[in-house]
Amino acid sequence: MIAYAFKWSRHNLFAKPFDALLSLIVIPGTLWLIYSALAWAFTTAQWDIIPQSMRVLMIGIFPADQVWRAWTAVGIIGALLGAALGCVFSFRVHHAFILAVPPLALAVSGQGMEVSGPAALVVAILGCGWALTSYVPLARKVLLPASFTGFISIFAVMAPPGVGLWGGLLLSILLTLVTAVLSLPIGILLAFGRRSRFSSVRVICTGYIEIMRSLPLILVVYWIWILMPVLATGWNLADVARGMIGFTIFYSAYVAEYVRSGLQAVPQGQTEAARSLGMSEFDINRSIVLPQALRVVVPPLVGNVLDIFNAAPLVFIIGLTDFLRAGQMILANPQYGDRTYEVYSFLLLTYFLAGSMITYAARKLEAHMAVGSR
Amino acid sequence: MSINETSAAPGVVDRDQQQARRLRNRLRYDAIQFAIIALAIALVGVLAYCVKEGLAAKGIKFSFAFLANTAGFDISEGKTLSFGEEILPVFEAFTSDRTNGAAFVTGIFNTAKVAVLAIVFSTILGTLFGVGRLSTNWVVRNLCFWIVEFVRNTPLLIQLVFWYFAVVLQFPPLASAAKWYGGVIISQQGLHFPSLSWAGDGSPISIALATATWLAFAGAVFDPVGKMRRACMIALAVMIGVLLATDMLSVDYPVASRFQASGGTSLSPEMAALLLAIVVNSACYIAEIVRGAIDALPKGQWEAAGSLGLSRRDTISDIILPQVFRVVLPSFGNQYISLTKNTALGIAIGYPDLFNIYGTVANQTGHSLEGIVIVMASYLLLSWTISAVVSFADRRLNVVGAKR
Amino acid sequence: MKFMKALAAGVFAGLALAATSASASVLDTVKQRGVLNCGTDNTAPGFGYLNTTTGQMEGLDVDFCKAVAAAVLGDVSKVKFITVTDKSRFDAVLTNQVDVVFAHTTIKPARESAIAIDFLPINFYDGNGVMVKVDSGVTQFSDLEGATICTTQGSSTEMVLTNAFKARGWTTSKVLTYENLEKLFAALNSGRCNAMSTDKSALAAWAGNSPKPADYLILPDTLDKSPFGGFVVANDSKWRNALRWVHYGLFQAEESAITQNNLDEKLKSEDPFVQKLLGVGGGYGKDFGLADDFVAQSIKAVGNYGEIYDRNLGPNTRMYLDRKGTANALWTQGGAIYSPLWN
Repeated sequence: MIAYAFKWSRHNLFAKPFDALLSLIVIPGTLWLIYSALAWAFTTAQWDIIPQSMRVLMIGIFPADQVWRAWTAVGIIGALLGAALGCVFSFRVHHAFILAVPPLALAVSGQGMEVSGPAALVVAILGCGWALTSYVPLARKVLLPASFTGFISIFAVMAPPGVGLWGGLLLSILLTLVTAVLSLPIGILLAFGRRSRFSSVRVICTGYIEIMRSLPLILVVYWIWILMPVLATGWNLADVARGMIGFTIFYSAYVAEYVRSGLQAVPQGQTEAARSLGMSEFDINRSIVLPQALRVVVPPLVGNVLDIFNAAPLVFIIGLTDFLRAGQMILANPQYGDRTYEVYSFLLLTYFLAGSMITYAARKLEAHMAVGSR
Repeated sequence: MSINETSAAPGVVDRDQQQARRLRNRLRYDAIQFAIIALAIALVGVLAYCVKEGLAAKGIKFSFAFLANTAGFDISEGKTLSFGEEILPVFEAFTSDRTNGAAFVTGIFNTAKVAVLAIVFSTILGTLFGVGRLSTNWVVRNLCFWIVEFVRNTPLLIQLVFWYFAVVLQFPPLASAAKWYGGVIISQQGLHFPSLSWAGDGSPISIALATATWLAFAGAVFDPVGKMRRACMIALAVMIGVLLATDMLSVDYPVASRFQASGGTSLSPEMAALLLAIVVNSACYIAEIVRGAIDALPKGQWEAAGSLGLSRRDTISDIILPQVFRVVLPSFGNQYISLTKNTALGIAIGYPDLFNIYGTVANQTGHSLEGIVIVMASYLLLSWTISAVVSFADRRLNVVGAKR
Repeated sequence: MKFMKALAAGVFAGLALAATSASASVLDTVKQRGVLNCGTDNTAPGFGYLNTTTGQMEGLDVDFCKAVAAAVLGDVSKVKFITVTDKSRFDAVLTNQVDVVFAHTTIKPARESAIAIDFLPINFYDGNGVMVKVDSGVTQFSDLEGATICTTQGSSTEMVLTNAFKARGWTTSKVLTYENLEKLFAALNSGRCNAMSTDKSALAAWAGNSPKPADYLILPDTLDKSPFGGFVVANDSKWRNALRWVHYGLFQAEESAITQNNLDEKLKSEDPFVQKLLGVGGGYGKDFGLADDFVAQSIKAVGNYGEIYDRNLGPNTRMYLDRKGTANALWTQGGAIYSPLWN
């Protein structure tokens, strides 16, 4: 054992003098950093602020007596997510144990039954959806209409108290969902527009894509927010809706570029073969080119979802209270001004966990897609 | 030949019909084109008209006259163009009695400053991370992997706020700031470095010395002749020594007063934090690009280099990286553009970039829409400049040498 | 142009699902909607602040929002708070996203002339102050030559500081702007800013609520006046006048000693003026398009001006700002809170 460890470290840490030097600098430095971070986390850090303000962090200023609505929305999102997962990865028993971690963690961290209970329910729904689409192929057929219905019902259940009250992590998630879903059809249209027979359509689509790709998102969101009411004076849209429109307008250009790269990956011979069969252009694109192209671009599109989620905090510029802003609002209370590190660590860790899950899913999908492709 | 004319030969009739069909097709194509263009123009016109009406209803006039008005606010850092007695405009610090237009120029200047520095540093750091992920050293490999993963999976905005409040503002206050020899001051009020300033007069000797120094510097950097780099470096060191000894080049040390340090060059805390955040963030994306490109290279390259007895470090620096850079430039270009766009987040920590100053001007004057036009044009210009430079470099690199 | 007008009208018709004609007053819009959209800050203790423990909005500005909702709609719960920042508050009103903004906004001419808004009466008299940390050794503003002074972006203090530097000939002093107060306070605590400058009430709030209030010193100098007022979109005198008299009703109620608690007695009062003010058997509201008992409704909701002040800035709050001897006292006590004649 010792001999093995010696050999391993010899090979992996001290292979050459330069390597040894690197190791001797990096290892103590890293260890010291980890040690001081852990020491701070377990001794001086005052974590009580996190459970105390959990509700603000998660749903912002959504009325406390309406929390069931937020849970319902999260439940629907969980069901859809599970169903989508089931289409790609089969549900196994060990997944159930992984799923059980978050509600247990909530229960342990001193959150009462009114939080851990619904959380456990949401996780259970997610697992059911996952298992359903894994083992009942028929369920996959109805996935698209079901997700559409789910989508509408999320809004139906969240809207009554007022769209302006959405906030916290839930707002970040909803914003990401809406943007990802809405930008897909627009992006596909733009991608086809960029390959159109008509030079005018090509110019317009290319111009739109290129302009959006060279402007900062924060500006696009801010300007849409300013301009919408100027354009339609009598039509009053909530901030949240304007933010979503801004995000969609911006990310459609990115989705268009991903889809275009997918379209280019479809061999020319396929369209030529279809033409020789006398199919119309629309039919060729709909049933031959697009399905193959989308297959290629699913992993980058999942990566794009991560980009959207990571850009969500930018809505602070139009006065929305997303997850990051909720954290800053807690710190705005001068009594808690010295808890900066605690709040930011919590935010960073939450984002890192969520982001890692999305990245992991994208990588798995890539591997999964690579198996079936020629 | 018109469609109605018929000809005796059957083949010709066919050709006539074909031509007719072609003409019809072309006409139809042109008609659709025209319709689309007309629709687009109408749509833009209606939008513009709606904006104008909407503004008129609110009593705001659309005009750029406000750019010539005095700004009346201060900007914490940055220079603006001033058209004085000289033929060429010179860069001067912004003061509150300059115009709103000058404030916009300051914003563009600050944005470009961060972007250029970040492009240089993030390319270097990103290449190091990318190579580090393939290192034979287990610790370096994993450290690079986790840094890249963590940074790519968290929002840049939080990273930026973290760098600013948790790192840069934790430096010692100016009164007790660390002073190292060389006169570097690191404090909450910023980082201050000594700078070189030219004190020589216009005499032939000093001009000759300056030219020689410049030549030595150029030779050391670009090495046009080959094998001259070391000699040029020695020459450069000697020349600088001579210049310092003869007082033609003087070192300007920063001096700390009660609240600020003056002299030398300085980097404000906001700029430092924004630069750090963007450099680290972009470096992680660049690292992924570099790693992907190295992975895509044929294994044979490594093996061939190994069989020639090249060390791993030589293999990477002389064989792998040159080929990689030829492939990754377009992806780097995209990354540079998104890096430039990310500088707009400076508003969250008070860095006076273009977006921040636009906000201030719009707030003080009420001319938000005109500001939109200016800011949009500026960002498009920045992005297209980067694209043009990158594609130029790409062409230059790929003209010589073999493709993969 | 005719064609364009027609096209634009078509687009408007298409877009405007719930279109209201441009000439309609906000007052009618609010009544039709049944909800008041009120723009406030949510990070300014004492003015507009979201209490994260209760989840409720509180503060002087918030109470004015409630008073307006009660006066216009007769129901204090019919108010929706929309967060505005120093940067976005004007756009929010200009774009009809909110009906009125109460967000500790300084009244100054450039804002009314350039931004197309109209201010409401002053509801709090403040001044631009400067706060330093005690250990910096600074005791008055003139000690700060060459210092970095921080403030919020888009606030009037930005200009005030620039002018103060100019007047004193300080060329090395710097103004640094942050996008909100909490970042400003963090920057002062870290030492990045040698001083933080904003309205004195906000300085008192941040120092008073901090864990160690004794660490901070609010300098005696007042750089400039800073009267706060709400504002509405320009050229809507119907809405503006109604809101002005809601303000004056709160001021007059304090003068006439009508409080939330004694409102029911006062409604039975024999005094003809008090009767008319509270809308018993006819009142002043009709002429403004409000209910006759609008003053009574707003007092029922939040109390008179003195009660609003004491609830948010009075002796029982952490950011106690004494009214005595300041402009915020009632005019009968030497202050500037004054209602015009009602009779």
